[in-house]
Amino acid sequence: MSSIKKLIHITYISIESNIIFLSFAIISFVISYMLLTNTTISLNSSYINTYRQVQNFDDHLLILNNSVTYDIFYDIDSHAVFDYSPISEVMSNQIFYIDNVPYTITSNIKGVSNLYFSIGNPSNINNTYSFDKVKLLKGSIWGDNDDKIGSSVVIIDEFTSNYIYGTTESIGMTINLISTSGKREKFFVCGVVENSSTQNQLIKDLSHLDKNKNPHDYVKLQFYIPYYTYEQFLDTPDHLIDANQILFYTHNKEELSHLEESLIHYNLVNYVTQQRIEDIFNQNFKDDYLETISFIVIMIIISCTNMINVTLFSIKSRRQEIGIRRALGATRTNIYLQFTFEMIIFLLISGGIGISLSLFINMFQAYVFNNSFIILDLNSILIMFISTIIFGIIFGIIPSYKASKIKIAESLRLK
Amino acid sequence: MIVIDNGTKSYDGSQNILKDISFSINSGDMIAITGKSGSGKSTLLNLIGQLDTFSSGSLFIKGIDTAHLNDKHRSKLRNELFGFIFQSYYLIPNTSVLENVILPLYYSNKKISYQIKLELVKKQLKSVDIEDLMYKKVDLLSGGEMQRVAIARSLINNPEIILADEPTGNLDKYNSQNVFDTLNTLNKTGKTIIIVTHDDSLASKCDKILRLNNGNLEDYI
Ligand SMILES: Nc1ncnc2c1ncn2[C@@H]1O[C@H](COP(=O)(O)OP(=O)(O)O)[C@@H](O)[C@H]1O
Ligand SMILES: [Mg+2]
Repeated sequence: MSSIKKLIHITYISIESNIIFLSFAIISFVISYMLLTNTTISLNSSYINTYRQVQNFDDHLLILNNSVTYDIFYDIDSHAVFDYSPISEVMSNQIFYIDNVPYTITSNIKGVSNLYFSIGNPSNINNTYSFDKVKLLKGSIWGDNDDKIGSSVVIIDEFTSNYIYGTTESIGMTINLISTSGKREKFFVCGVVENSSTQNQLIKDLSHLDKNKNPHDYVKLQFYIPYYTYEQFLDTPDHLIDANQILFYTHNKEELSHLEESLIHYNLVNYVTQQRIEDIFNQNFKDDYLETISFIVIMIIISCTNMINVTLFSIKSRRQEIGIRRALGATRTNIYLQFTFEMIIFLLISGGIGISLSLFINMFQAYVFNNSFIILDLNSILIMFISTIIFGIIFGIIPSYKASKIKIAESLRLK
Repeated sequence: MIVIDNGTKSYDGSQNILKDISFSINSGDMIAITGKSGSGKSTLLNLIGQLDTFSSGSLFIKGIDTAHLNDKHRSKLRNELFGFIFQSYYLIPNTSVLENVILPLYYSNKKISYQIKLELVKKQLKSVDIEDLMYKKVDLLSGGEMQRVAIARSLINNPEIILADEPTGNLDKYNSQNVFDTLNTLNKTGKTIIIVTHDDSLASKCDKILRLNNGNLEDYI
């Protein structure tokens, strides 16, 4: 501590004589910082957005793109009630009748409370990890209470609504779902959601098809019903056949592993857990981050090589000062540390100016182009701060060593 | 206190600038080193002050052979035993009087608080009558004031030996007299003073005169 104090006291920084060095350093800091914040922020926001998309159940239903059939969402807000219904049973080949037209559930997983699931015809299934945000167009999503008591409510998508009722104004209408064992239940439509992109694609394809063919072979009619309702309404399945994608959420690691065990037990190989989504994003995040950082490192190394030159030059012009200090009792180590410290301070000053400047540039471009303003990114500043100190130490080695080796008597003869 | 035995100095093995010099300096001496320009006066003073080392021969300071001292020891001697005054003052530009005078205290290993350091600086500046210049930039001072700052700086660590290389060379008559009187007074308080000068009238006021001629010790009276 006291040696740092001493360094501060013996530091000799003259901005005027280092103006080239300073402007050079500032420019490289502006570029590095802008790169760093931009990457951090865009990565952060894409991460957060995806995360939100997955988590936000308020006015959106979420379905996995291209695999609408087996979407199961576990509401993160009610994970506390998870334990009342462990995953133990899986439905398969249940047939539903809508207006006496049969529909099949190929498989479904049961056991997660507060669950949204869809029933449909499993065609055109791809394994992708992209998400569709499905907008609620009409009505609302059932509440927690409906979940608990098993209300007979259903959410359908635009296509299904149009198909069944010829309109999207179907709130309050009823749909009869009949299970294989003959149980029949009247469901009230409480909400209508936008078609998923898969659904839209299917509808497009459908227009080219043989008009005489049953559209049910191609199009998925989708019904989302509360889990508890589903549990009461449907019968116990025989076994599970391959489900394609299952998305569920839980913040409880134990539940997760329990669920994972079950999935493995039922030969469900393709499933996505929140952990995996996070891993995937983290990985992407890290890759991009590393890429940027390595770019910045290269830039800083190039600029630091120049900095060494400038510093060496400045040491030449400071030989007499070094001689005086040595005459007054400075050891070689004192001189070495002084120069390294000055280099670090100098870099920090230019870093400070550079960062402020890039923030200013950001504000300016946000103002001119009406873009979103990039805020102060503390993480990037911290990274810059630490790397500056490290670079100051590394790139200060040669100049500081040279400074410490200057011969006193000779340097004092200089005019 | 200082004993030089067959001291020889050459740069890069070329011709000798100091040739086989032997003499000794006692504590409390006030010695003038004189000689023509280029005769090796500054070189000799630098060698005594541990700013440089002899090529051969030996230099004892207080009984210690300086030949094998490491950088740390030499620096300690420069810092604590010697005080340097130069013809062109050698103040650090762009800094204040205070920052210049306090510097040897930072290079010293004595653990004293900033407050005490500040007091020491004030005291030292007062002794050369420039206490009101403490926060002034050294670049703005007159030659006489600069040399007084340099003297204050050389005295801050209370050294036993003052080495002055033509301290009056750049000063007018009044200031030269002033500097010489200061050195004289210091000598009276027991400090050893070694002055390089080619002003014969100044030299004659010293206890002893050491005359160099082309690197040879001509006489030492
Ligand atoms: N670092 C050095 N390299 C080479 N020659 C030097 C060096 N320092 C001094 N000299 C030479 O040594 C001689 C004595 O120099 P100096 O001691 O400065 O003389 P003085 O102070 O008596 O005028 C001069 O000829 C000078 O050129
Ligand atoms: Mg000289």
